[in-house]
Amino acid sequence: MVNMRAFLARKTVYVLITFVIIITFNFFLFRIMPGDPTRVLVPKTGDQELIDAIKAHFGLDLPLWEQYLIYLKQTFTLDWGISTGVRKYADVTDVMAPAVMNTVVLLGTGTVLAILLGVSVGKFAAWRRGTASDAVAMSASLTFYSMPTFLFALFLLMIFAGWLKWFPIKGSEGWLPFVGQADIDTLGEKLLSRMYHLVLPLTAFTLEIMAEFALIMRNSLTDVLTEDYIVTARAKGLSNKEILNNHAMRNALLPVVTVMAISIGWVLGGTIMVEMVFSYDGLGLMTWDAVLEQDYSLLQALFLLMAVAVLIANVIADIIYVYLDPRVKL
Amino acid sequence: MPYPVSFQIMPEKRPETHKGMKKPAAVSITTMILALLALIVVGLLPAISPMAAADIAPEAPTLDAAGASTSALVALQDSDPPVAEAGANRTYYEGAIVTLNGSASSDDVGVVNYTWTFQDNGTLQTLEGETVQYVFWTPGTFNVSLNVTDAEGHWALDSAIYTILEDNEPPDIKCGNRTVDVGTVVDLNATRSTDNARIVNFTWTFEYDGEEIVLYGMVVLFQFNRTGMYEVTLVVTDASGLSSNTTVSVQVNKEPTWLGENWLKITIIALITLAIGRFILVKLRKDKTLFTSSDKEKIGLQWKSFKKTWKIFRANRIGMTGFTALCVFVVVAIFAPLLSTVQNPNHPDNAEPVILVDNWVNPLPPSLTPSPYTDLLHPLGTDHKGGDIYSLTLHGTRASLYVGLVATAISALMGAVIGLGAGYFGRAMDEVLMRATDFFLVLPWFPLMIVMMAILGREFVWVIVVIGITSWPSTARIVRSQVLTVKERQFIERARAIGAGDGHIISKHIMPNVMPLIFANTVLLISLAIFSESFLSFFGLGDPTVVSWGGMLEGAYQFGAFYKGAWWYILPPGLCILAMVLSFSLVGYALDDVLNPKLRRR
Repeated sequence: MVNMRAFLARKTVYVLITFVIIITFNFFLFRIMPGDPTRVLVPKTGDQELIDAIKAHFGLDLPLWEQYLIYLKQTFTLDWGISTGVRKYADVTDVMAPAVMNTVVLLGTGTVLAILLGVSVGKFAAWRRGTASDAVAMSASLTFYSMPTFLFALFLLMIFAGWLKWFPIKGSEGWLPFVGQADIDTLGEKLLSRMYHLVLPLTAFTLEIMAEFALIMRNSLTDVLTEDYIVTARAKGLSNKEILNNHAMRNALLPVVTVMAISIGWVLGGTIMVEMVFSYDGLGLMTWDAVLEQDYSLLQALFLLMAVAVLIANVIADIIYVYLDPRVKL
Repeated sequence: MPYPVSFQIMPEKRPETHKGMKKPAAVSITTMILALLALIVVGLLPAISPMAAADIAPEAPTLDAAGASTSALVALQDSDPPVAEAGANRTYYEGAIVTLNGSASSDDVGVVNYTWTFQDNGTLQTLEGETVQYVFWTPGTFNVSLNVTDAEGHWALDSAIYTILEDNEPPDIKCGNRTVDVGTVVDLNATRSTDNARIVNFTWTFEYDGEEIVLYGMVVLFQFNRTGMYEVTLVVTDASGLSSNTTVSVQVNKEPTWLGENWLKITIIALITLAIGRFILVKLRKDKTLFTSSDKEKIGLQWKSFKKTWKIFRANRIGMTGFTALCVFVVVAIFAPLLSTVQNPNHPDNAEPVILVDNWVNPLPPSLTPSPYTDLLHPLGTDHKGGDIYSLTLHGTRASLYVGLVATAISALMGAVIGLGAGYFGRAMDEVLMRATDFFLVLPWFPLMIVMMAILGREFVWVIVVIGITSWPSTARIVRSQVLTVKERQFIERARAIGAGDGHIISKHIMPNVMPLIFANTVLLISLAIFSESFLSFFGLGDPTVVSWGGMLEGAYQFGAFYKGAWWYILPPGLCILAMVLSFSLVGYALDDVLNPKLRRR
């Protein structure tokens, strides 16, 4: 696998370059903003001396390139500054840490569920293409796909939390039906409460992401099923199930992987919207808070984190693609 | 579903120049309710105490009254002394106005004299009256005693301890920056400033027309007749002499001129006119007439192929559904002022009053009876500010279509130029442009949009620009791959052989072959742009002065319509966003089917 090694080496170099560009972009994006960052930190009664002292303390009086170098160093040592709004004067890393966990749970579970569901629905529709069930599955998928995620989440919130009152309106933990707010003590109850709060956000997120996979899966499987080698397989006397699972699916999954790589940014957008609507304490809600509070240092860290996450996910998708399709030129 | 009546009280209007993002309105509503509750409790306190006293001796006052009026009975001797009640012990900061309230004292006949005595600064202070006000200027503990005397000379004593703390905190100033047009009277308002004791002085100082202007007062009015940026220094002093200051900037803009408001339109129209003029000039110089017979033939052929495409498109039922819906939306957007019942529905002057009585409350459910306040009909109800949902929804169509079309035009242009450049010129240019495209593809465009909007500020132009420049990479990739295949075709080589330049080849041979694909992709991008616009508005990053569906949903979300059952506030904008995004997607997919030769064969 000399080829593979060369491919990985090339990929690593590419990722590193992109990574540096992202960091630089992130630095300058927040430098062009109007306003003085010291204004948030200095109390209104503060005089010029205090402002100068704070500027010197944070290195804001240094030339831009020196600030950039310091920024680079601190980015790699995970020293991302202090939050100026959401939790005043707390370390940005400390502020973000609990939210990361929540988002990873929502995003991870949701994506896995969406891929499984989407691929199954697409497979189902492609196999029965032209029938009523195909039409129903596809129009439902198209509607979900076109529906803005936040809108779908809002509808779910209105029906299941506002009207039927089955699920909580906001939050990510702290309440359970029949148990109440105060009595959640045991680990089991805490977990249950978290899962209970996760139901609506997860449903909204999964259905939205699933739709795209279902549409792509159906399209690509319909294409593959018209290929000659499927006819050959049928002529060999293989059963429908064998043709579908062993011959058609492997090829048909390729576009799904491509789409997955492209739509990772989109998936992340989905989490932001869902978290915001359900006030689920994750990175998305934190982004919103940071925007509202004009907490630029937190916003900068959040943006960097998301960009790097998307970059890494893209690389993983690329590698999966190479394993799935041996024809790919390395 | 009912919702609490207290929600009729609205949070105060955001100052127009508030640059930051909107805070959840729920916070201010809650504080207002809390303040209201506190007011009610404070108001009830004195009322409750006498009632309790009356419970203890319910007979006495009636007896007295009867005795006085009928005089059949001998007037009873009032032998009971009064009950003095000096109030609870309290803590204040120095300089605060302290109200000594003895109204909770009671007597069966009536208290005739209240005397408050205490030592302040070594002198004995004696104040008379049921409620008196006094300012303690020195910190310390004061034992205030109240002597209550009734008509018969009976008296009672009670005392309360007032602790006066030293005031070390300067006042907290709340006053926002202003942006106004020239010639308007600006009200500089610091009413929201607070202090733990009491604010005694507001001084506004600024330089205007070479003179130093000093104004005093919590709210001052000043007419700015000169444009410019004025730094107004506001000094707020509290009773103990501590002061804090802040600088408020007043930006006085020129009166918006016709040119200033319409420069974008004028530029666009001028550019289009120039392009047409140049086309006609070139044509006349080359062919001597505007229409040659070959032109006629060309148009005829194009018309024929268009009719053929239209026929295929018409057969696509899904595409036609979307197309019909789009036509409806376009008609609604154009004739929105004619169709709506309220003109300029976002303006507070056109809304129902916010505090209402009887059964008329905001948000009002759909109703066919006109409002008793404004005589307006609200077929889809009102929002929590009293705006007409029906008219707002109709006007929202404009914002969505406008953003969708203009932002997509920007992104399609950028994508086409970059894709053409990369695909046609190849080599280093391809490498650089495609790396940039890859970079922007990898950037999560959702957070990117949010961050850019947060930095640029809530303006409609920025919404369009931000959506436009975050969605071009996919177009660039499609265009590049298409250009790469077209470039290798023989007719390009032939054109080059007879001496055609790059510009000619791109505009005459490559563009016509690439355009259909961009077109289908563009229509899909429009739906994405509309989606993004509604999301940004919902996120609280849209322009608050422009009516948009996302903005309406934001209002509904902040107000809490989702769990208060105000469905009429959510469904019209929500379903409209859904319908418009869906119809653009449907048309896009149908066009892709029709125009993409690879798909058409299927």
